[in-house]
Amino acid sequence: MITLENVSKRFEDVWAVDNVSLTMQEGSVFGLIGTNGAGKTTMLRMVTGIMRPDSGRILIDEKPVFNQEQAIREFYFIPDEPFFFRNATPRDMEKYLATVYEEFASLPFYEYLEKFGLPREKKISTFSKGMQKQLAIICGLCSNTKYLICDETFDGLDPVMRQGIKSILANHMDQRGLTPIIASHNLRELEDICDHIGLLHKGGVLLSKDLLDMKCNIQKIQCVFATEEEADKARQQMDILQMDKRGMLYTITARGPREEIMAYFAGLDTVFYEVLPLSLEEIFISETEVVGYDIKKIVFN
Amino acid sequence: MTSRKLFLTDCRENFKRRNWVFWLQFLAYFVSFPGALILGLNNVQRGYAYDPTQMMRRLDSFTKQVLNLNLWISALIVGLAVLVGIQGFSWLHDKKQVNFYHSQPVSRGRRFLVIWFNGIAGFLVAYLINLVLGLGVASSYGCLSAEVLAQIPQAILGHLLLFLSIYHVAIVAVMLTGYTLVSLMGTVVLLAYEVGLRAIINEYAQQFFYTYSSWESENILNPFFSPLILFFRYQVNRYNGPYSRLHYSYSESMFTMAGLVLLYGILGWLLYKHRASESHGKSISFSKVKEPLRVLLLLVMGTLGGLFVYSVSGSSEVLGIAGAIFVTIIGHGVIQLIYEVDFKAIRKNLPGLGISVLLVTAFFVFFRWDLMGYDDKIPDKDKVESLALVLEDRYWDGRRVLPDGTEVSIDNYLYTELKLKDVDLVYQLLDNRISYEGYGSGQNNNVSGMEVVFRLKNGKTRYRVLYIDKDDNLEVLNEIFHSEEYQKVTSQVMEDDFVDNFRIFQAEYDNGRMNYALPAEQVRALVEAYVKDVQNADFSELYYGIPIGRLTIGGEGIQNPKYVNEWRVAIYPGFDHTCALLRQEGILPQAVCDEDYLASIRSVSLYYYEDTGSTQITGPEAVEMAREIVKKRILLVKEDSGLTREDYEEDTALAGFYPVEEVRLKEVLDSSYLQEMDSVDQYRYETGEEVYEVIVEQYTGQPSSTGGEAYADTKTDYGEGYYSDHYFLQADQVPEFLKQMGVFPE
Repeated sequence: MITLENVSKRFEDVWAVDNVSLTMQEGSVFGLIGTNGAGKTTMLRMVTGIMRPDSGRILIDEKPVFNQEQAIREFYFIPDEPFFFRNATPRDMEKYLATVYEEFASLPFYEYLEKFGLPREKKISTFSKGMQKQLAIICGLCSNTKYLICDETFDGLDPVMRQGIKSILANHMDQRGLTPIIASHNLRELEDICDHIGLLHKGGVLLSKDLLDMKCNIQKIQCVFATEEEADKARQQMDILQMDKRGMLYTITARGPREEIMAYFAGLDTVFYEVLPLSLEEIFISETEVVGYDIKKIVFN
Repeated sequence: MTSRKLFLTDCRENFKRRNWVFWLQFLAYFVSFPGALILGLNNVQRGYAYDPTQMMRRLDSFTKQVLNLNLWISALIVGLAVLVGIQGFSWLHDKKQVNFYHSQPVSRGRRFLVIWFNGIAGFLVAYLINLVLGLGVASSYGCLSAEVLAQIPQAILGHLLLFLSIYHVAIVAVMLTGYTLVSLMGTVVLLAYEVGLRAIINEYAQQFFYTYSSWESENILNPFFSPLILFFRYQVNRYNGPYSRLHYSYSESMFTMAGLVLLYGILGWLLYKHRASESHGKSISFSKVKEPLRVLLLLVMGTLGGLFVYSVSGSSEVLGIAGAIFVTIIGHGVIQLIYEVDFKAIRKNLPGLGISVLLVTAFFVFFRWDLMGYDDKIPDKDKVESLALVLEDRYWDGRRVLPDGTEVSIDNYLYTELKLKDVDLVYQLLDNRISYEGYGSGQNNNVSGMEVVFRLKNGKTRYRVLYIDKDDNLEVLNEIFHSEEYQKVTSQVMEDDFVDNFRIFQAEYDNGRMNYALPAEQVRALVEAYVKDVQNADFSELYYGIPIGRLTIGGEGIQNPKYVNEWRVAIYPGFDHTCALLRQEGILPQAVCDEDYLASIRSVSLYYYEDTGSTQITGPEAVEMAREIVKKRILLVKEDSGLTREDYEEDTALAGFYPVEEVRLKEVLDSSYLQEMDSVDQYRYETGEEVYEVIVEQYTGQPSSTGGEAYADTKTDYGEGYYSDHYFLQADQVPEFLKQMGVFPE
């Protein structure tokens, strides 16, 4: 488990991370979302011990991380711009990483290279940006660390490759309990992989919730009420986050389990109703609007 | 994997990343050791094939030169140490690499240690392998002597300390900065700043303090924090012997270097430890350093600019201060540009600029108007252990030879060896010092500047130039002059065992034009007579009197034949013992003119200055200017020379033309003395004192050269048999016939 307790970091006059407390559980995929400049990279650089927080503390499995070899041994960090040695080939990187990470899996490394179609003896500098990201992910996976921390790693990958990597991540999670932590400015990229989402805005955590909880507890209902009195009744009795009306058609976003909502609407006098699945995007819009933010400006710009 | 094994693995991996630096070093040392030896020794072998002895000497000398601490290798080491230091740690300037390395399970301390160790190991391996190869080459040429081998450990230690110190300075620069280019600039600043500031303070003091001695400038090369200057100071002064002002022994120099290695090593480590990872891309990685550094840099830039403008503007204080402020503002802009890499940033941080401007202006004002009263103060008498005095216009010989045969400047020797312990006596003289204005006016030629060395009880040494009126202080000067310590240090001939320490192979007396060889067996007696005469002499005679001749003694050390020198001392009319011996040898009474010399003379010119009243003579520069206007010539030609006034039609300075008998010319020359006899009177002559310059034109009919050649100060050969001799004639010695002729204006 990675714990951040009241962590702050300031660059000159700007608080890049401001009093953040967060917990990233083992065995789940933690998604860190936020716009450019929200503090994602800074937070990850502190989590990985690259930077020292100005205040607060960061623990990885109860151990402080900054300049602590034992704690750092638990993760592999893939930054937004991965570094490879000048003129190095994938083989050179494997040789180097094998000296740094005691459990580095060399055989799977070459297997992955083949699967991804990356030549082992070709200079990495000749690889495309996407290929370099693939290689960075392979390096990370084969380091066999408990945590894999990815900063904007999936940006620039094509959808097929993204799906492939997601599936490999899932395998590693199943087989050896890998805990990926993925930061992105694009919510849609995290939607189908993350179990838990932390939303960063201007250095602070806007919310941190389990994705399933969020999905199960918010429903979107489209309906046509028989009378306006029925609509008023629903407005008063339900925990409504949002309610729009176009003509006779109401679109309601309400908090509550799907079964409960279905049962409630069954008892109302409606011409038509249906409960629709919510996208992560819609959930976020609803959740953040409740706390007074216009999420469209924060994430979906 | 054990920790030890892992360390070596880390080293190997690190080496892979930077092996080009190693090979570059290897190549450089290969060229400098075996390469240079093969080429050089081969060259010597071919060039001296005709003389095997000479060849072996040269081979040996060249090998010693290459395999010792030499300037070329040292300069190479400096450059490579900077490269190794910056290259090793420049990853800290790259965000991608910082992310990569700092997120790996290798502690920061270990990473530092691996890179640091690899840098040193790379140097040592490249250096030592090539040194061994060099020894092999020397051996194959048969010039690997025990002497060469003996100097090797010294060279290795010296070069290692040089490498380590510069390497650590470069590491400190990398840690303090966030760009490689700025690191390079930082290295230069760290190595040169202190020396630069010292040089500026020295220049200001020289410019504005009239009692400031140029000997204080040695402090420029006495930095506390620049290993580069310390090492090269040692290198340069190694050749100058123990009486070099900046002499430092090998052990002293190496000990200091080792101290700096430690200092910069610890500093580099601490900075690395506390350097924030996010410092990459910033010019200065520690924000607290930025402002003090800016002020320090602007202080040097502004004060230098101020001094430059002050000098080129004809010493205008207003322009000097304006120049200092202007350069400070420009410097501020440049530093802002470097700090923020943004042209618009040059207008920022105006309070910092204001502080710098104030500081630079205060610096200029402080020196220009001597606000600390430097010129008014000399060290307290109670704090002085001993003193040395070096009078500007001293009479003694300017050279000394040390027991190892090294020739030493008398200045260096005096500054080290002259220790006048009677502080009260010397302070009687110093307390009568006068201001510089009295010295520069040209009104009083008895005022003389003298260098004074104050050796303080706390071990420090201070140098001053102080001005005294010799006429007013003759008694004290005489007493100082007669002190044993003064006489023995100022002249080697005065030393007790002088005659016993040398095999004299030459002794000669001359009056500037005519030489008389003396028998070697008379030298001891002559020296003893001379020592007695000097001990009895009055200072004023030595200073004001004109020597009748000089005694030149050539000798070599009995114990060390390298110990060779030629001593030349002046003989004054009052030197009774010496003169008696010279009379006994038939040398005195002497004649300046013998018959042949007299027969060859065609004319005698007497030059004097005519005061036109149009120019106020206030100093040497003004005199130089005035000379063009008022210098006049009286020409006495031998009656039978055939010269007529028409021959000198174009000489506008000619004030009188007088054909005279040969005997009259002899009278003039017998009253004159050759220029070589006394340098003091050259100054008197230039300032228009009662001294005339006398040029004798000769025709011998025996051309000895193609012309234009000067023999010392006295004789010039114009070719085709024409020569000239240079004399002076004091006003009170002017022959009666000239006075009667009224050739000089009243």
